[in-house]
Amino acid sequence: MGAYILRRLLLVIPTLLGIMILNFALTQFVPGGPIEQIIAEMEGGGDVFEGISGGGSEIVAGASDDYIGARGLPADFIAELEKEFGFDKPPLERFLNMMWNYIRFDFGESYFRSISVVDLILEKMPVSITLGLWSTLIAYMISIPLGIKKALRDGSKFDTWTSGAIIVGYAIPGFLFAILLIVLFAGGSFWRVFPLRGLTSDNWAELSMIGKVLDYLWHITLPVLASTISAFATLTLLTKNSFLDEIKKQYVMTAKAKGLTENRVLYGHVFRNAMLIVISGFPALFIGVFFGGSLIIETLFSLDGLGRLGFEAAVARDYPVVFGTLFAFSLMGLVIGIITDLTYVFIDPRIDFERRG
Amino acid sequence: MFKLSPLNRRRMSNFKRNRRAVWSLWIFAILFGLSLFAEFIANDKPILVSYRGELRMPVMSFYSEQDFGGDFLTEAGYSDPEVKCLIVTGGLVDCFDSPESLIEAVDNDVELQIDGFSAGWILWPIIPYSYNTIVDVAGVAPAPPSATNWLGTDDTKRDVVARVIYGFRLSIIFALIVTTGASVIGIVAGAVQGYFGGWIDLVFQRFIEIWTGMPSLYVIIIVFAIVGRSFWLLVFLTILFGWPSLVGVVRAEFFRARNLEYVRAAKALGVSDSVIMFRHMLPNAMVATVTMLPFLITGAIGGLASLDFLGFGLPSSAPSLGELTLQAKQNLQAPWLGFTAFFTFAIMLSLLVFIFEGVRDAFDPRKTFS
Repeated sequence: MGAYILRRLLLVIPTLLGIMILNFALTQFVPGGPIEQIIAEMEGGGDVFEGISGGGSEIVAGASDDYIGARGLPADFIAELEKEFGFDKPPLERFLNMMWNYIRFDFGESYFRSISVVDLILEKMPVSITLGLWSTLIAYMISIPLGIKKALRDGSKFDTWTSGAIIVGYAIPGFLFAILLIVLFAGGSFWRVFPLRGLTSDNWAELSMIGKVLDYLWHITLPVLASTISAFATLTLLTKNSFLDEIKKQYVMTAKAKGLTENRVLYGHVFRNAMLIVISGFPALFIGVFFGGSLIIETLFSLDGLGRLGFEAAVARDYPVVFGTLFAFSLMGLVIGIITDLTYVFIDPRIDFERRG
Repeated sequence: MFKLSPLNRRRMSNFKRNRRAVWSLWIFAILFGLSLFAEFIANDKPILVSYRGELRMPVMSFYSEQDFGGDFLTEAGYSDPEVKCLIVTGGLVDCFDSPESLIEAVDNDVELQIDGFSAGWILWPIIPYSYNTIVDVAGVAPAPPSATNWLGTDDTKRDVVARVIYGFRLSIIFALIVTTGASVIGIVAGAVQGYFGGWIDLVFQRFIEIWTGMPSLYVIIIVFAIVGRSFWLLVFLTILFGWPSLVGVVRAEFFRARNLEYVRAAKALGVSDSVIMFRHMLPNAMVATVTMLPFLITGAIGGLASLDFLGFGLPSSAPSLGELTLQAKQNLQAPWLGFTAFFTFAIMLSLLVFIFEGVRDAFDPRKTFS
């Protein structure tokens, strides 16, 4: 087992390196970097990325060191800027520097705001935690009982129709539900019950403790609802299938033969075994709760979370943020993958990943 | 006429027994079939025109205004009263002065005693707007549903029904191409990995980890910034990032099957690797693949919609349902946009999910042999 864990951990290194190299190489080809952005802002020409983010495709700039926008600014100033951002060095050196810093978990500072990438991530986390925590909680509270009920009534009308409803909910992208909810409950055409934007009201600081809690709940209802709907499907069906598998086993028969009540059999015996597979997803879930981001839901409800952070950094070419988050989240994802596999082994010792035959 | 094997016949009858799937398939087939002829249903050009006794199909071919006795060499603007008048009267010069009264006269079957008059008619599609036609009606921009615009207009005054019809077709075609492409690549990759295992599998698996680690939205933004956007480029990029989703299941199936007797027997008989993989093992791995299909298809549609919504999808002129969703968000005072977007997606995706659920159940060996 130890050898297996070590091998998996060692494999993280080439994978992570590969991800970083690929993305770094990609950015070398991109027209418009952070320096163009600053130059454009200084000359009052607006945003160089408008063309890219706005919908046009006019920007087909030439080589990356021949700035179209550089004409108006003194050359030494641009050289200074380049030096400040480290663009005066060759790409390979920049890449190695970056990786060396990342290995020591030093993610640097954003180009456009004097704030370290770690602080930036921490700043955006309340939104992610809000959406992740509540929608996960609700999803679990509904999915597990529903899954059990569906397993007990497998093949019934209830089973088929709830399956249909769940899968449709899964298939329709969450942001469409969000739009529907906004139009119905926040748009003003029908019921103006919920607020349109943000996590808290403007006068949040003045509110009492209870007022704050209520205000927070009032603001998060719609976004949480929209992001929960698609979360039911996998969990419910997983619960249902693992319950179905367990119920057919012989120990269930034995327990019933001993004269145990239906509930005792279900919750005393079956539940523990059937839930193993659900529980093994917990580590991944836990990280997802804290670092998950949904760009579209956040955009729709004007929330400032991790999804928006990544998107805006990519559009504005804020490379430290792009690569910092990419590195951190890829590493996290890979490690979580290993932990999930290990949890499987831990909760069900019959599984092993050793090679055979 | 191709013959179904007994197994496939049983699958067929299994599918037919699933009433929801069969109904969904019919409704979907009709909707999609109709949308394939979208040009004949919603278009700003007439389907058929009779001009001086000659039948013309403006939907199919180009006619300049001169062809109808007008002045310009550009395409005739069929919704202009002048052009309408030229067509119904057979190209009278008087049309440039008082088109409305002449049209009215022809409509009322008045025999006009003017030289060169020859009665004609125009057959319009049910919805006389194409997806990019600017509706020429007074009023504010997202106009509410009315008799002329059944679902209203969007914020650049284009008919929503027409955009939905074309957008539906575009989404479905996009999803079908992407799903086919991604499945073929995913199945081949998964098969190779699972069948050979060992180093190939290890290296390939790292490659997939790296590949799925790429922030695809970021790459799409970059590629669009460099080469410009187009439908086929988007298809290509979506396939590029979509194929790994199938690899896992196919790989697992091949892993499981490669030590089974029938594969060993085939190997012992000297059957080549590729024949074993794609002729003997693949049919067994199909069940797992089919299970994933509904999610691939709906995922492709949802992905296209989110890209369009973010403004990084199809070229802005394209009839896109994601763009409709964005407009719904920007124009909250116009709830019909939001409702249309939601229900179009809901109906489209539900139908697809129900159909493929039926297909999956039909392929499920536990149900096939019960």
